[in-house]
Amino acid sequence: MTSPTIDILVPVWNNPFETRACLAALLAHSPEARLIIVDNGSSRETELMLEEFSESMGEQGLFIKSERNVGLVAAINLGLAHSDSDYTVVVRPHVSVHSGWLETLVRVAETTGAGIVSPLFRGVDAPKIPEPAPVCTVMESCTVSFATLLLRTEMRRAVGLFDETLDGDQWCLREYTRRVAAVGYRTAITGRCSLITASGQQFGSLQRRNEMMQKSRSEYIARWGIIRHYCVYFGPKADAGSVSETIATILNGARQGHRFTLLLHRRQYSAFRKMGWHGLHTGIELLPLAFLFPLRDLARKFSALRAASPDMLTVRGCSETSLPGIDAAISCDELFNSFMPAPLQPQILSGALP
Amino acid sequence: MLKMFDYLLGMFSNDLAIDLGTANTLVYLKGKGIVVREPSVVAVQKMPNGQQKVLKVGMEAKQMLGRTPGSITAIRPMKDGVIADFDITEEMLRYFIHKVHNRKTLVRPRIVICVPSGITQVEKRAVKESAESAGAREVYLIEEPMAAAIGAGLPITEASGNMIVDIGGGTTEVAVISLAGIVYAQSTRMGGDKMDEAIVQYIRKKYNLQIGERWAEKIKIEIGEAYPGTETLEMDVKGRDLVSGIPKTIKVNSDEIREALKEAVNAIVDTVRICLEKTPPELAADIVDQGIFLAGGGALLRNLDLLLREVTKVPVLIAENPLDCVCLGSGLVLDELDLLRRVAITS
Repeated sequence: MTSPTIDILVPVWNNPFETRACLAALLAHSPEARLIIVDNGSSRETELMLEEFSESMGEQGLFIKSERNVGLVAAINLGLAHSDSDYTVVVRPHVSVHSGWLETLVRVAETTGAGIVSPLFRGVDAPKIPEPAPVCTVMESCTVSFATLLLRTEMRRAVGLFDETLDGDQWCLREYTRRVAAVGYRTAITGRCSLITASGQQFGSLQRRNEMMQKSRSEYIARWGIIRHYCVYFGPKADAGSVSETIATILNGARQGHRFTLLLHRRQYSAFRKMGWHGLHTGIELLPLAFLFPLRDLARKFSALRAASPDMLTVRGCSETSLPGIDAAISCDELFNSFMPAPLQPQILSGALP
Repeated sequence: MLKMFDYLLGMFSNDLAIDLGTANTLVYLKGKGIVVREPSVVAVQKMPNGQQKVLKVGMEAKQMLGRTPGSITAIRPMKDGVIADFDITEEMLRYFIHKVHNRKTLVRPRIVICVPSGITQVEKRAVKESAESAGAREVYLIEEPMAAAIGAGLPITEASGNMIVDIGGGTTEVAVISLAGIVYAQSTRMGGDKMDEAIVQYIRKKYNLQIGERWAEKIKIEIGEAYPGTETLEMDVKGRDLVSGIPKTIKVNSDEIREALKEAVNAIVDTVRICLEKTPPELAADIVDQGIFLAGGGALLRNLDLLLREVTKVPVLIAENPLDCVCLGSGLVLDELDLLRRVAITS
């Protein structure tokens, strides 16, 4: 079996010293990959540095120049349009890579079949990526970052490019992962690779950024529907075997960007963990209830969740389940109808379990 | 020990901010405002042993321009925004420092000096060493566009993008500033001096008339324009006829001067356009809302704002005191040491 071909795409705008350090690290730690450098309207100093750098790379590098700064997402799309390898890894210049980083990301993509793989990030102002559950090294997620992102080319051909009209940040990525999920690919994060990031630049006034975020959010909702937070309670009698179909529905919902908080009795919590359901998706959180007076704890936890997320919907995990003091709960069937048909059994990403 | 001595002398000195421009030098005295506004000209006499002796500095030296005997030359020690003559600049700085301290001898002030954004490490070092040799205790360098933006009252510490165009005597600096840092800067060695030269060349070519730089500057100020206005202005120009060699007076109008300044003005407009193109869209959107601010003497060129608005389709505003913006801005940071440390550049 031949090893997959890889392109590393680096969108560059100024910061010549930081960019040089990043490119040098990429060359040193991923010599087998081809570098695609997109100069997004940089200053002369950066331009000269990139030209000098590209000259020494020969066939291993592709230098694309945009005279105008077209924005981050458009620059990434420009680079992606020139990438024809099996995988393309987007790396922003403020990220510092280390030895083995690329092999780890590619191995995760190969073993799990994921369409998108993101590492974790460390450092001040590092992108906030939810970490995989303890003891899980790979987990599905809807939250990734442009800082570093592995994209499977096969998937990219089916999904297309990033939407340049959105905010160039979370909503753009969320919309992309949603499209990725719609064509049957997963988005994964891996704890096996953790990269150090310097402070990334955020441009524009806070007001404008908020306006753009609101606009992008509305656009997302118009395309894919509202994103909800669901609180699920199965009742004290339900066991793992009887709710596996519901868990599959929940996983399907999480892949669509929804968030789920499962309030579980101690026994259920242990059983769910044993089944590996704590590592299904970063959008699914298992919350154990207190051993003593669980119903009182249920009410307390429910109130806290409601306070944090007023639009949260409550789901009765089983038809006979009653939620003491909690009205307007929807049933699992209604939840099932909200999402697209789910697989019968929840599938955990290979390698997600220890 | 030396530091303690510096500290003691510092107590008897006033902090200064100096806009060391190609055409004019402005000095801001902390707590008093701009106290010196003089041309960056030094009159030097060449001694028989080859050494140079500084005779006059500033306004008095400028008046000697073109009227000096062979042994005396009026020098402009700054060229294109940077030091062209290290020793003369040092003498000029010493003169200004002593002038604002009423000629007291033992003064060791803290000084903020503005430098163009595109200068090299060597050039920065030269400015710093000149100021230290002239008696400065501590020297901070800040980039001219940054100082101009502070002087123009732009919200530089906020995340929004602010564009400032500082058209000085030697250079034009275009910068986008956000979060107290220059996000993108473009500098061109085109400014008021090149405009004066262009006027001299134009009149020589069209009328065979030789005029001096001072006349050219006067023409630029009185009838120069970048974009056609509602009326055509005229003025009499005196010079020496290149054919007959005798003095002659001619009439020139603003249309001709606009033609003469076309190349220089286009270079400035191109720099602004390139800077806008290379600015990330998120910041460019802020600039479209807030407008482009013009500072420096070149901002006073008639209808330059109209031309820039026409080309860029972005609102263009002229700062309140365009000539003083850079000096005022660097003076303002003397009162805010935290801001000074944030905006100062390392040499």
